Amino acid sequence: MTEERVEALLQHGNLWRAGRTRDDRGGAVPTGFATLDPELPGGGWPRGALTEILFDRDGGGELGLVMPALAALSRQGRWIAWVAPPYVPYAPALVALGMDLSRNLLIHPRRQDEALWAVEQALRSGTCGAVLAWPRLCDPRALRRLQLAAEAGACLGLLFRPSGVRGQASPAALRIGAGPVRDTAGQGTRLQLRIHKRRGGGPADLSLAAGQGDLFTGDGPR
Amino acid sequence: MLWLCAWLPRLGLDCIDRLREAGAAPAVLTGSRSGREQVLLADERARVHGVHPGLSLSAALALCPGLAALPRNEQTERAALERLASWAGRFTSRVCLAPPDAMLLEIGGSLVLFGGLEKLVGGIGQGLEALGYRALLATAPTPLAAEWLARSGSCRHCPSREALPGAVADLPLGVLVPEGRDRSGLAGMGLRTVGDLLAQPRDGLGRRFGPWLVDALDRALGVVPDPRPVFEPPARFRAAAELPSETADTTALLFPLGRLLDELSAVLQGRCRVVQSLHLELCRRGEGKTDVSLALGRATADGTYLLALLRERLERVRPGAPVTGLVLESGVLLSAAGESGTLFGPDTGAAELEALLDRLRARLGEAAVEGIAPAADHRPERAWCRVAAGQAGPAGGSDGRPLWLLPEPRRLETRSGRPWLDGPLRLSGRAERIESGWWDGGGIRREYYRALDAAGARLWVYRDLAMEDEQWYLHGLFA
Repeated sequence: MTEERVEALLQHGNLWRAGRTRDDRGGAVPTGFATLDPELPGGGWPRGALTEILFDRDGGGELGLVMPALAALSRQGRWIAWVAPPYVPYAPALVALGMDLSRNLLIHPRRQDEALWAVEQALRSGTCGAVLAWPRLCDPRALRRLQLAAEAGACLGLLFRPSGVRGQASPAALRIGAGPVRDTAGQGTRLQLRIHKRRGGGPADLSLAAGQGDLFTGDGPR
Repeated sequence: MLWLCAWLPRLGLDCIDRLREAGAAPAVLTGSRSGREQVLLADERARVHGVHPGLSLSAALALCPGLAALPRNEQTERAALERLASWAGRFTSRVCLAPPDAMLLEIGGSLVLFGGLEKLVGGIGQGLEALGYRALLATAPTPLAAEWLARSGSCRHCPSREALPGAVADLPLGVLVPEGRDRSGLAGMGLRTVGDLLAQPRDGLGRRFGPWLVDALDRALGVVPDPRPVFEPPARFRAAAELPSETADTTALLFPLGRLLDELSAVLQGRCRVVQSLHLELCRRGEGKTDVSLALGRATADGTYLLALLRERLERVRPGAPVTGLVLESGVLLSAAGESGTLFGPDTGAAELEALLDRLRARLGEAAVEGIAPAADHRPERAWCRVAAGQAGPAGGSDGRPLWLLPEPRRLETRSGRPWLDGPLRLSGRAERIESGWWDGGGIRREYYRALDAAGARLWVYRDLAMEDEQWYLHGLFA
């Protein structure tokens, strides 16, 4: 009886056991990068939780990092919601990366509070596979709300935030810094990642080498 | 045939009282009779203070200073009765109005379906109660007898025509003869009840009071037929309500609005109908009104859902002057069988998505949610288009394009002949020449390059060959 209860608890999405980076909940979306997946609990982007991607400069590869997962989700028929993207998500490039665009929603709120509301609604709806947002001001209370909404909707909540917020507390299940570094061997760049926070593991550094995910080859994206 | 009569003795009061939240002040319905304003109906809380029908309004206010005096509106009552008749269509296809305050349902054919008389009558009573109307119910084999039984307040159920004379015998004559000369004439003959009347020879009654009296008795007992026009439910739902007290705060509208939506929802569910659009009018004091329209992605019969959407809209509505009334009107009621005709086909999750889209549009506006698709054009800024959410585009993707496109190309500085953005840009790869669009006046002649800035960000830049100075522009980011 007790064991059953413990087992039931372990199945619960909110619980993680220390010292265990890999669990078999299956609640993760593979990232599409063979060297990144093993570093993430569950082997991918955590479903039903917030992931913060911290970056300094637009165009550093921060969006390409999540594209393989988003493309896979869209092809499974899950909706991808973009709330207030800073630029135009460019349809020809998205399709070339395998995205099913008929499963993409662009949401244009007028104000910051409406944006947070829309993110929460989309996360909670249960129909979105992933919600992407670029919140400018986001206090811990708002983040907590979004985290709960992501749990309720079993949704991948991707927040793109400036790396300056690294020091602030956050309920996100995963915080990962991303930035380009010059590739010493070739002409291009590689994406340097630093995992600041993950469930059941400490910080880690890794870089996505050329060829992975077809995104960071020597002469730019394919 | 078995007829059920639902008599709504406090219809006028219920119409308004049900829009008030529980715990509101005592209320009476008032009207003018013989030139003075008097109480027509009083609710329980007013009765506790000794207020009763017939009392003059000033006397009632003296007895109970906080009393809410609500003027009677016969149109509102008639409309409410018709909505209830529409609602009653869930129990039987034959519903007849018995104005001003009753309706008749032929339930003989529905008994088996609803599990017997007791359950059916219970269901009708509870349904009316849930909508906020007090009703007295009675059944009889003829519509007139059912009406008499209900209006006398006896709430009896008479199963067969043989039992009819006995069932109506002790009813007071008031159920059939209005107050006036005829009633006093009958009283003068020593007749007090319907039974007394039935015992009299018919031709004598006919000679003295006219054929209508005998005819009424015959119809009630089923001796002559009593055809009634069947109520046709309207194609749209419309409910107008004067607010018990005017308000400038739109959140105070939610309770009465919720009641109207409950009624809409009950009508829809009972008749297997759904609505795809709603229109709400807020009537302002003095002149004018504020309109709120709601178009739904997916037709629904769910009142709570509609209320949630209207709440979002009302939060941003400023009526300007206090609101005195609401008018709720639905679009055409659609058959619920057609419900699967949604934008996204029958796949699972479509309902959740449409609900999400409805919520987003209700708060952010119609244009705030869209989809994107590639378009067949070589010009980069025209190689994508906005489409309705969920629509596929006409063209495929193309390689070597950035994930982010700038809404407008941004002019770059040039230093010693090279493009510059917080440092020199290093061009990589081969140039891609794009020349297109000369035929529609939006022609371009550009040379696109991938570029790396000092921080390692990868950009999509071009040199504008159409211009003499061949300026550099930033057009996209390989994010």
